[in-house]
Amino acid sequence: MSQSRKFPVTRMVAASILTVAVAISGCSTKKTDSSQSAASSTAAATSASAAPSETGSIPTNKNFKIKVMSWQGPQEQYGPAYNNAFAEYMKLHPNVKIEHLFQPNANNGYAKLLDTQFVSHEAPDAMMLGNVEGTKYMDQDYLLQLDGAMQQPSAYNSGQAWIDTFKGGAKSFTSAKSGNKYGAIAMIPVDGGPGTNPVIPFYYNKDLFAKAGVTNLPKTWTEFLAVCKKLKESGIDPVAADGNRFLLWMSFFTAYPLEPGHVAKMFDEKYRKPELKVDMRRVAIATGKYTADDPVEGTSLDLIKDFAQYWQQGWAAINEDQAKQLFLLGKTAFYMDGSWDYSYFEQNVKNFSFGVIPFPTITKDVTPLSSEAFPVSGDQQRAGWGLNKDLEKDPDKLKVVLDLFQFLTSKETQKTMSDTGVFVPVVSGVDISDKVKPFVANEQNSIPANQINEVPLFNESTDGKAILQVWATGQADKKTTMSKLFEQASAHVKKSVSDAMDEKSGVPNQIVTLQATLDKLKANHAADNLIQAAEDSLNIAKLKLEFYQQYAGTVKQQ
Amino acid sequence: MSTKVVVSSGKKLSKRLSSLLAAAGFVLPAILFTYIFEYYPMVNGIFHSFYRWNGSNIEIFVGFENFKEILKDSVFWTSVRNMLFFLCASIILMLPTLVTSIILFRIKNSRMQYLYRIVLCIPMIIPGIVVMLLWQFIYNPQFGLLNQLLSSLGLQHLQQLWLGDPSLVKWCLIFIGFPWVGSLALLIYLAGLQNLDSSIWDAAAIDGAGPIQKALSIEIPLMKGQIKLNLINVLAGSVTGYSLQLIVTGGGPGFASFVPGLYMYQHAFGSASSDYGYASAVGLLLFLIAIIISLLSMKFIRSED
Repeated sequence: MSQSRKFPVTRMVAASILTVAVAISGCSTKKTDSSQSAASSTAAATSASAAPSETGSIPTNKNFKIKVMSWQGPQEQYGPAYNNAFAEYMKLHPNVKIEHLFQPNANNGYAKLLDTQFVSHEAPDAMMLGNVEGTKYMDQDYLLQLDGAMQQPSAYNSGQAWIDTFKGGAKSFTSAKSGNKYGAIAMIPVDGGPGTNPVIPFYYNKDLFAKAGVTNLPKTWTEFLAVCKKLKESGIDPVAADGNRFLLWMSFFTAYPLEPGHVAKMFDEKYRKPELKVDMRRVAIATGKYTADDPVEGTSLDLIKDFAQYWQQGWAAINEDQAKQLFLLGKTAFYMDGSWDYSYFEQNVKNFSFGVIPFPTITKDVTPLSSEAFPVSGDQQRAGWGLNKDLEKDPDKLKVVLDLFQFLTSKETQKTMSDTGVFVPVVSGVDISDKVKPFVANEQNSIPANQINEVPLFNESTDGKAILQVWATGQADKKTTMSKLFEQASAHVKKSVSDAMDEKSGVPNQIVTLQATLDKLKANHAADNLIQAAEDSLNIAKLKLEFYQQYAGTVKQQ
Repeated sequence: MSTKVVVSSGKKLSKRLSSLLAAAGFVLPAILFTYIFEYYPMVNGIFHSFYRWNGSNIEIFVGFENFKEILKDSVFWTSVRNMLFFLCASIILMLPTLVTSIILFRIKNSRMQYLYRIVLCIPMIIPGIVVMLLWQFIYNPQFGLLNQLLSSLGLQHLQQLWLGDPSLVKWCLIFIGFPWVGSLALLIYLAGLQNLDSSIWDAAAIDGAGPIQKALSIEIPLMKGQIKLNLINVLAGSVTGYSLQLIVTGGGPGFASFVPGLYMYQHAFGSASSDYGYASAVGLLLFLIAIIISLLSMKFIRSED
């Protein structure tokens, strides 16, 4: 063969190899997480999703690598608590490796990452989630429904049904189920259980208080503003605020005490269930029952504006980390934060001493709409860890992940985690330390979950924070602010209501799915509690559909 | 004889085909990647701009409803006004890079020229987000460097809220690029200048042209191709970009630094709603705006390429 004939062939071969190599390297491959190897383990495993399955030990003939993600990094307060617990679990089960991924929550970075990970099926096996994200991902079918798993015995709690080991039992999950289209448990609580005051307290600088001559800790809203005024007159910035998290919290905490049941009372009593809380709010706005000049939401706006005069200048453009720095540097007297940062302050506050005071009570002399109470926390679990729905494809791995979370929610582990992390345990029968007590609910936390005023317009608007920034900095009047909130909320809820009534993707479809699940459970002679849980979910879904048909039939599909 | 001709033609065809196939094989990966990572997402985005789509189970055809809603939204128009501000500022701020490239080109000492070029290109290796976060701290009204510096110089009366002041925030964001000498644009201008025939400067020297006259009459007109290229980058970046606003201010305070790119981002990833269809519609509109502005700009620039 001549050179001239060889060369094109060589070039072709090279080109083909290059193309194939690039194509193969460009394709993502899922690495298998298990491999054959002998190991010992004695923990029991539980089943997955709504379908019943056998209980048993976690497989011992395989290695497992579990990826979990949270915003609790190694320097964060809960980080060490989680990492220590994971280490204990790995000692107990040497064939399991847990990789705890840290992703900061600032600037919504956590949710943005998960959005892309879920779409590409690269999300971790379990991830810490807030209520809003948990609902969103459950509605998008990225999370496992956990009702069935929760009914199984906990391997670490004397064989009790896992759900019964949580404070408040099954009833404590009714609010967590609300809002997602399946009415299902989307998350496993691990930190910050019922008993945690849902209203975040204020850390305060004792030295600045002394400098301003403040001797009594404020208990009411009036006293609190008086203290802020005194601090300001002494040349001290009273509050370290930010235009993101703090503003969000204030919008909720000033609204919570106002006219409980304000939205629920717009509908028939039989629909006033915690699971329909979000639906009621959306339908109220979509049908005009909740108006742009709602007096209750208007009052909460006034409270924010009154308070905003005591926030440091330029607050609207900074985030919570910079606000925290202000407090740490001793430049402000108050900083709103949760128990998760207690250890951080203990380690980093050098030049002053600090304390914690509960959020002040908004009394009737401030506004007659106030109930002088706060939302009850004792009976509802809030947020937690979601499990990736892709785990269904690997039942053995799913057993291990469920076992891990049963371990994390055992009494012994909860006690250790609570002491390290300073949070209220999520399960019953655990003693809490003195550090935790300021963050625990008290007798004022008495408003039931389905009656809390959750600022519907703000909640459902797309640019609520920006609109409130404009309001709180005095750049817009109240009418303009509420009109803007209403305009955005209205547009959003009309779509949500249309989607809920959609035959293919809404509540009707959910009912079909749940009915099929129930029929399958009955056919398989599943445990009574599983069947009951499925029936409850189905009944709620039917009630939801009835609710939409009765009240939202006129809302046009967009 | 005819058989010989046929066989010879057949061999030539086969050789040609082999060459073509080999060439195609080498080019194919690039084409595939361009299709998968550039054209497919673009077409997919355009397709979904006519849907209400949450990226998962809801995918409902809504026609032009998304576009109607966008055009009726006052927040969108506020963001467009802000975008136009940043666009005009970005165009004006192309000047420092242009001037710097001319000055750099005129440095006679080649070693010094090389040194200055390195110094001006070093900022390229620093991630942009680091710069943004640093400036965020510099601008902090309470403990930022800027206000602290003014205080130490006895100029407390000049202290401002900077990013916290709606009337100042856009200017503060523009200032973050100071001294507005873009490394990549600089290299493009230098390349253009180095490609010019050196006899032009000899002729200018004979005619007695001064430095400014040389710049205005020779260098800038002959660099229209490079200016056009950088202008397109600036236009596209200003119309669609939002990373600066996202990181530094979140679009605030209020809507003072809100831009259309951020509007699109919030609708895709906002916690109240994840409507990728709506966000895709915003993206398509931005694309059209960028195209129209670019075409209008090109009409006024004649390139000698």
